Amino acid sequence: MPTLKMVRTGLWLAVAALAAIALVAVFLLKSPVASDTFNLTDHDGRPVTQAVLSGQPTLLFFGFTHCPDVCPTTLSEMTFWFETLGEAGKPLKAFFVTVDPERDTPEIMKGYVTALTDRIIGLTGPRAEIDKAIAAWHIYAKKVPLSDGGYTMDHTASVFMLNSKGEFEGTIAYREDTGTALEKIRKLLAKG
Amino acid sequence: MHKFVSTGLMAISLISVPALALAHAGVSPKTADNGTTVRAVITVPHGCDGAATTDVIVKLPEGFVSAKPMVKAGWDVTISKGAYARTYSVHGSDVTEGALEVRWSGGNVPDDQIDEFVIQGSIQGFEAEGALPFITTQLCGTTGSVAWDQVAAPGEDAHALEHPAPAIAVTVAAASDAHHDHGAAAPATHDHGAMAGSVTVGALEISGAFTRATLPGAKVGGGFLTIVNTGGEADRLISAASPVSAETQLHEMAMEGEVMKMRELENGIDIPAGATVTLQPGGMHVMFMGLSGSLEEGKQVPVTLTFEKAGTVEVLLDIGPAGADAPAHGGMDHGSMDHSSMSHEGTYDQSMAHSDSEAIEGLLKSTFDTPEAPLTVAGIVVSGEYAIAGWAQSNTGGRALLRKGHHGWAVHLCSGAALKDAANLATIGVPSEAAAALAADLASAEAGLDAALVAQFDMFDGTMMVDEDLI
Repeated sequence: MPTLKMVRTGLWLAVAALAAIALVAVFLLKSPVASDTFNLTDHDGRPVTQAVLSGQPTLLFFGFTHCPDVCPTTLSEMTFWFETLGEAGKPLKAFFVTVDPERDTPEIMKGYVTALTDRIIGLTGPRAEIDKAIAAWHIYAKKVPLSDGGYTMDHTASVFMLNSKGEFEGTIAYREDTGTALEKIRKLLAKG
Repeated sequence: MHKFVSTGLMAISLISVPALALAHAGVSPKTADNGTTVRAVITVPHGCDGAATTDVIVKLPEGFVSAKPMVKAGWDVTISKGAYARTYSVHGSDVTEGALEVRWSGGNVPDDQIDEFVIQGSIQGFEAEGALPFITTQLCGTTGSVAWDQVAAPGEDAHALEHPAPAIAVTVAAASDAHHDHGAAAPATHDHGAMAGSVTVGALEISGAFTRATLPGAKVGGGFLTIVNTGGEADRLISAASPVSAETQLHEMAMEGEVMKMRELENGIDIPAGATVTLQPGGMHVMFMGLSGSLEEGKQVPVTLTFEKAGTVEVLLDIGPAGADAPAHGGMDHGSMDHSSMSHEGTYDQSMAHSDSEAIEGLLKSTFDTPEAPLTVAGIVVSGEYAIAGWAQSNTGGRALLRKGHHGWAVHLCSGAALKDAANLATIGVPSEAAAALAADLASAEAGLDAALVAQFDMFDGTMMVDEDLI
């Protein structure tokens, strides 16, 4: 029995070590570089820098308003998370950063992101500053031309979870099971 | 003497055969909702006292609108058209006339065989439950006929009739379906009574058409619908148009890892023979671009679809909530449309799930969730092929212990607080590592849940074995 317990403890340590390696890898991949600090505008026209992502647990999503499916779905799910978390979700902040700043002005962002909840803040800004944020978070965003002369955007559709130091803690996948998403956010909140 | 007896028995059996074989003419489906398009399959059970059936005449009931018989090899079809007793409003247009009677002739159904005769139509005009009786007459050459022409009066048992007309019981969808969500007011869970209409063009049946309310300022929207090709020939959706948008295209969205990619389908969408093609959130869709105004929940968007072979048809898309995943009548779930369909169908394809938790939630809901008593599933923890899930329904609740096998997850047993303890799990037969991991993960998962909900999980008294062989 003691032997079995030792083996078990050993296994748990091995698992923990693996998890730590994975986390470090992810952290190195996705932690923003200080020089990439961006100067954006929130949906009320106020200037915003990288600093808004620190000081509280944060959900970060990159999207655009000419987005028929992923963005409304994700905003709707984020709204549901906030409603479900209630008081427990109070410290949490959420940002919707446009990958299409040419079309998404602060006014358009405000109407779009505040339609379902007042808990999500839209961020936009000059293309160069948006590109800094995109690069800092290793976001994929690409214009795709359409036959009528317009374009749409391919973009990373996951919600990033940041701890109160503004460090990457994990992601919530597009259409992740609601229960799983809530568990992840509760863990993020518990870490502070 | 011996011969006499056997002849006598033969005579008796000959007499009794028709009585024994007197199966009634039938129709499938047995029930259907008002507003839906159905394919009524009428079964002719036997001939006329030994003679083969050569003609089948079906009188179409009032309320079975825009009916079309299916072509049938070896038979000639004659459609008698005329005015309906009343005017029906189908997809915003008035329909006043159509097929009233269909006659298949020149065929042959021997007395000891059965055959099926198919008529597609749209059930319209029912404000309360009712029935669509298909008065069916079989002719057997010139030698005889059988008429299935008795219609049960309200309250009368059709089984008591000697020659009942095959009938479809018509149900009327409730104005507001109870829906199943996560217990709180989710933005994506509003029901409204209007059912997304179905429409038929050629061999294509289009149903479940919906779009979503746009968020303020949004210039684009997605349209979703299901196309069933009932014919033997492939077709292609080549374009879509709508007055609500400056440009309407066909698009496909696909996830590549975490990246959402959107593509214009310039070659349209193939609709193979016999196939069902679904345009749905997360996949192919009609893309409205340059919306002239916002799409408001509860209203409808007209869309003209053009198919290579079937031609052009107008479909009305119900506008659901901004995050809607399914047509409004589906008893929509917040998270995924799978949930709503499985609650109603009772079967759930676990291979469609994106995670173990989703598969387990889907399994439990498909098994136990009902409109009257929605099931809440939470606190799902998985360790290898073992899992525990908390569930609550009405005033009770419990925890299920599951194991994953070749056919996906299945419930081993249901219990209450006992499943929180690693030692208990090990006693049940869960390997000790998994038992320890499950107990630890469960404690942390449930710590994040509403205490009242967790208390409900503890309520289950004793243990109910579901599938003993599983563990």
